[in-house]
Amino acid sequence: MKIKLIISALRYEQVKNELTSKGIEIDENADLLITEKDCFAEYLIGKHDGEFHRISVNDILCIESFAHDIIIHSAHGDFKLNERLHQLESMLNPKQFLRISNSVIVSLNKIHKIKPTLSAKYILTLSDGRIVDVTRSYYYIFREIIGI
Amino acid sequence: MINTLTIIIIAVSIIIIAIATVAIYYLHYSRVINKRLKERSGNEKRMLSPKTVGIVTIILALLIFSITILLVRVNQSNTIEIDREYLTAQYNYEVLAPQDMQCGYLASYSINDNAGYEKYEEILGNIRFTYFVSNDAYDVFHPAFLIFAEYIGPEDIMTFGFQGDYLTSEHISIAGRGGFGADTQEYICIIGNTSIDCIFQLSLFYYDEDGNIAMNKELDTLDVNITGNSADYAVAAETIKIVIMRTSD
Repeated sequence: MKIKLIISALRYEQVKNELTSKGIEIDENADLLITEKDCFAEYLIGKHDGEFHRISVNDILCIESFAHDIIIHSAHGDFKLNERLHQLESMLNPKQFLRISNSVIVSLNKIHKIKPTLSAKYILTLSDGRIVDVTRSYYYIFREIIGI
Repeated sequence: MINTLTIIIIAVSIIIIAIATVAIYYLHYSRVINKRLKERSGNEKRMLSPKTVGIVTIILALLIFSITILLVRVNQSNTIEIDREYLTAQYNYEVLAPQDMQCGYLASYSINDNAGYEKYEEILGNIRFTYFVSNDAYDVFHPAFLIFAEYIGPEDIMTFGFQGDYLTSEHISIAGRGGFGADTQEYICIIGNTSIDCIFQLSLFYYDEDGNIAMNKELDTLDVNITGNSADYAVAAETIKIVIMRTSD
């Protein structure tokens, strides 16, 4: 069995040894996750041109899903991920990342501009000029988080 | 009456104001939310979204439009409308005593017959009206009508009063005046002229000594209508209407 660990560095080795001794393999690409409360991923592993890259969450602009593909748009380019979007949502710090539609998680620090509309929707311009929409379902939580 | 153009002007004005209001709020909202995005303190008071403001503005605009139209219509229903041609026409009349009728060109008019005028005679109560109406087109030198009025009742008449009004074909008063307290005469003659087809309405009031005293007391209290006459104190009070055709053949 393969498991991915998202826990603080203080406990990481202890938990890893515990699991390994029980025959459980620790793998960054595993489908199963063990997470620690209030501990969020500081980096994600993404694939680009067949190579795996470690992407700091501070470099992420947004994470988008296209059908079965999950793409991280970061300052260093686009990377493909194996995790599902809802899994990523739970792995990332909610103070830094917010789901704004069924297919997009955005880094709040990377929002450059908010354009309101007359419908229940916002159009966000990210720091690289990319435009993403806050859809009706996520409109009120977005307002709550931003305080508008 | 309120016409389509007025309604369109009111509607367009309200729409422009509503759009301007929403546009100004939108700009303000856009500026504030981007400022808050940078600050991210999270303690600010929530703002109304442009959508909410838009809906509220539309409702208010519809309300204001409905109330405006309602007020205009109510105001119009309380206003008597008179055609413009009545407002620009000429109206005048004089009340003359028999001795006045002996002077100048008036001497050419008599109670018996006047060339160019249709003669009518009517006795209402104790007042005989003999009147002459011209069928010719308007000119300033010839009166449109002459009304000779005589009291033929048994009472001793001391004074008389009158009220003469020009009316539109819908019987709306356009011009008029009245008087009270003139000494009684053998007859009185009312000569008038106008440049438009209309109706002249004459009310005459004859008072005996008691009626005259009562009227004077009434006038002292100022609690009388503007004619200064009251049928309650008159021994005879009658009204006639004369149709004047000045512009039609």
